[in-house]
Amino acid sequence: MAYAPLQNCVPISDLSPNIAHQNVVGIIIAKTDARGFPDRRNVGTERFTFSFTVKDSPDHFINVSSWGKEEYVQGLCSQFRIGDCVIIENPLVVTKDPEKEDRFCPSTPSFYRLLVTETHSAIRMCSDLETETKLLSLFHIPVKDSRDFYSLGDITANGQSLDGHFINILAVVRSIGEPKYFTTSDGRNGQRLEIRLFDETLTSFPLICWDQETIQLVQTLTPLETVLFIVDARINFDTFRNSMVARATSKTIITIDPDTTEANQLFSHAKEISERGQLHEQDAELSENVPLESITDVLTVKQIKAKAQENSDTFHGVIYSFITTLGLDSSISKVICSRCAKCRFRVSVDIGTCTNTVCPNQGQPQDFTADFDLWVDITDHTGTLKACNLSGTVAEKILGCTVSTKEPQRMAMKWRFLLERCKIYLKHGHAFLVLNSITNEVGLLITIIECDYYGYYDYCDIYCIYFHD
Amino acid sequence: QQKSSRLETKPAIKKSLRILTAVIEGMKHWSQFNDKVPMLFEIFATLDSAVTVGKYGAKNFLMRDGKDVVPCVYYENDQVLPRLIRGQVHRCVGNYDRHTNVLTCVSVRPASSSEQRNAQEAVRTSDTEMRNVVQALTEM
Repeated sequence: MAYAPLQNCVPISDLSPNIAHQNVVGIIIAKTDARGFPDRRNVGTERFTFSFTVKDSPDHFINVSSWGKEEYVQGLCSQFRIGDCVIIENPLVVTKDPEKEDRFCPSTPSFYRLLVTETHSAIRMCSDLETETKLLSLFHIPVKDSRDFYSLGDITANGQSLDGHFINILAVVRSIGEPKYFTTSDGRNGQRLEIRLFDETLTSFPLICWDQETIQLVQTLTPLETVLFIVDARINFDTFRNSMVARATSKTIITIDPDTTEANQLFSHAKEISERGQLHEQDAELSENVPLESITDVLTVKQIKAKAQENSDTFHGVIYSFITTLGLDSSISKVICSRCAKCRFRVSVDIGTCTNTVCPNQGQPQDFTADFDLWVDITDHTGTLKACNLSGTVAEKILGCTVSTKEPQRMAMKWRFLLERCKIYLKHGHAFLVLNSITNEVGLLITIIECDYYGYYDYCDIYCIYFHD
Repeated sequence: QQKSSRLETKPAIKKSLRILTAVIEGMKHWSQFNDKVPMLFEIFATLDSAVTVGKYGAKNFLMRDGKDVVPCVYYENDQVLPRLIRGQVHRCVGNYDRHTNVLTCVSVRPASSSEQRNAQEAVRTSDTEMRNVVQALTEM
């Protein structure tokens, strides 16, 4: 590819359809894959297109698209990527159709869009170092107001009312999945990659990418470090997961490590969290965030056992039942466990150091914290679920006390729950529990995620549904 | 691997403890299967006597629903027996011994109004479940 000098360059803000031979120099901030469409004029053939977005100042950016034969479009598309500085020579400046344009492309402040044609235009890499340096700094400035974003917690709190909306997200990359390849019903090859995000409000939220271009971009990111400002991510309610998910679409612009106050704050938070290794434990304990209100399956003990027998998948449920064992007053070692203060891994105090192989504190002198770790039996008219796990902050919340609360007080607390009917939200299937060899007779892996003492609620409605099974 | 080991274990559903909500008559009936089906009972009934102190500090009292009466005993542990009012509906959870005809309570307290409203439903459900269990037992 030839490197071109900067001639006849017009700032994006000054572009006009009436002036001939204008060149635009800018940095690519978004780009789609090349794709084919059946050509209506020549039946049986395909026309190809791809588009991208260039920016040349903090406030100005414009969409560029190219149509043509497969070889030309595929060739042009493969020559540069997001983050490259390019010179677009002699594009056609077209007035935007405001209704059509922004549906499948990023929304831009410009009144125009650029068309690159095989015969008249060219795209070349920018070779001018000074210009390149100036443009590169733009790459980290979000295209929307830096305060105009939803926290992940806000997204789940709004829930299904956000379904189908395009919103901005500021979050840290938590993990990057493996790309999955598939063939669509019309024979095209497709791919899909899921990354997980977190912020101060939520520890895990999925972002799904479909474009090869976006996938390549996110695969270069560093988990627990890279902050993203994602403009116009589409939010959907995923009925399969029963939760909200974000998708990167052709409208989406992802700004990596945005240069904003909010992003810096979030970066510090992420650093703190990853230094403490807190997310490791949550990886094991909370493979996903399931909002309580989405757990609506009311089950009996018998149904839970049957369900666990027929498949080993994770499932959630609500059970109205009695707590028949709550060993709050048994020996301290059965109530409270020690965890590494850095990575929250369960450790034996006798060993003196953390045994978690990925703990940042491994081999260092001991620094342990205490945590509730109880085994609870849950009974209804159809039987008993033995040894359900009740631990950590969930236990503190339910019991209304912390590990430092004195033992006699804890004993009294037990009677608030023991042999009372409780509404218990639980989860079956738990990687964390497999590590503990204590499981009950069916090999159930039940974790309690919330428990309401009946007496506080008028449980009439759900109670009746439950008893009409 | 985890899956296969789970599939190998047979459920021991019938052996695990149940808590059945019952009327006194039902409790007396279902207790005959106590040896095969471990069970505790939850009853909602009216206190029909004074609470008296018996041997070893036991608290004795009578509970009644309709014309059925059951003598109850409660041994105070870390939880003392709350003040019970004769003539009011209480909730007792405990183990019924059909040979001595005594309900040994482990939890006794006044019944809330919503509990009383729902008690009939709960009794019906426990009865249906137990009928099925007993039928399965006799078929074996």
